[in-house]
Amino acid sequence: MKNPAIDTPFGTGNSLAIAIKGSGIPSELRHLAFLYSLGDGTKKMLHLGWHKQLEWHAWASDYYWLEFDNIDPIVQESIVENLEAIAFVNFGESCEIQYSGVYEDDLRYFDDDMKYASVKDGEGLTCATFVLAVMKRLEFQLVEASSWPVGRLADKKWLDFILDKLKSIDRIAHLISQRSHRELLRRYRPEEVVVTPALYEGSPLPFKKVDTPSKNVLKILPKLKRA
Amino acid sequence: MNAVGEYRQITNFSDSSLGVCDDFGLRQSTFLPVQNIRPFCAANNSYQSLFVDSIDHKAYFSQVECIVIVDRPERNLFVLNAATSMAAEMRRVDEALKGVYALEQGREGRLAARALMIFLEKNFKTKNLAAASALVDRVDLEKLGVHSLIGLVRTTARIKLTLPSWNALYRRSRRAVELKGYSSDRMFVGITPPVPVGGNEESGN
Repeated sequence: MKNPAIDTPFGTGNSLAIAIKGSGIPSELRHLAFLYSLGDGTKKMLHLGWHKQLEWHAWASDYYWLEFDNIDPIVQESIVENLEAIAFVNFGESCEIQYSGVYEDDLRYFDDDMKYASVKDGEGLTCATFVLAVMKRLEFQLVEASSWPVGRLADKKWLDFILDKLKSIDRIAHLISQRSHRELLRRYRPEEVVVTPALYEGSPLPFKKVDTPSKNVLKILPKLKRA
Repeated sequence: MNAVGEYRQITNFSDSSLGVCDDFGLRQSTFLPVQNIRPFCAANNSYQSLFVDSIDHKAYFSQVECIVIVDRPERNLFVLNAATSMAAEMRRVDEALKGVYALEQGREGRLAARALMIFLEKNFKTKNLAAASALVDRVDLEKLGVHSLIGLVRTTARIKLTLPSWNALYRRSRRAVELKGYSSDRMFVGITPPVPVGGNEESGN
């Protein structure tokens, strides 16, 4: 895990990374983003900040990150071009990317022209599943969805927290649909997704491969909050 | 080809352009809603290319010489694009490729790849999969750099099930990448290799 206090992104020919930081409130939540470099060296970030709120801005140095060391630099550049396209099409007041704790691995979240397309009640993404959905859209299936644990207690509490926040800004049907998945919720935590760049070699990663590394990330992140 | 139903009619057409169903007053059309269409190969098996967009349920034709059964033709009028001809489409595709080749010759590989992707995405946006298909059929892979090869395959991979020649494109691109000294496994990491379905997939340039 690269540390913003001592490292600089993309010193080795890479141009694509996943970045993570503590989100503050509540303290156990994390936030995830794409971190990438354009051909001219400009470093940018793309992430789902919240409901219909796509964030696209210059590199923020309060994130830790992992670079896709196992994806060829030329392929990374191709992905970066597509990230820019996704940002261009979806960024701004017309952003339709809904926030939802329920991720359906077989759902088509982005249309052929990169526009977010999954707008039914209950459908949507989190900061972490935004990364998964975008990468899947670009033919990189980072995780083996069926191997992910369901109904973890902490995840159910997290969903309750999210739905409480969402209830003031979106239709009740959107919330009810998500709540119906609560007991069998399959959550892809930010700390689980952020380790995929170090592990992915072309095949979807089963949960057992990311479980231990993600716990190691959690040991680092509290330090990040003091950084 | 019997008992096609109350609303169905059989139209036999043979045209190198995207012509469909003059019997219904429709000309030079690029697509019909697939729920209204059942394609059948003509007796001489000259039906060459029909692909279906499973997302918006439209069927696209090129090099048409086949028999098509059309349901409720009056509804087709609503979605038909009557303006596009195959010849104009081909010119547009060739112009786009010409620009890409020029960028490649100027050692602007990333720009060339971006230009290629923009062309494809614009056509995806307007659901003009005929243009994407034509580009895949007409592109000269030897003139593309590795960025463009990756971009072409990855951008079209999302609609590979609807592009009849995508499998051949994938295989030819792998070879082209290797000829340039790169590992095709690394360049096309994550892309599910096509399953052989028979037919002459290696045709084309």
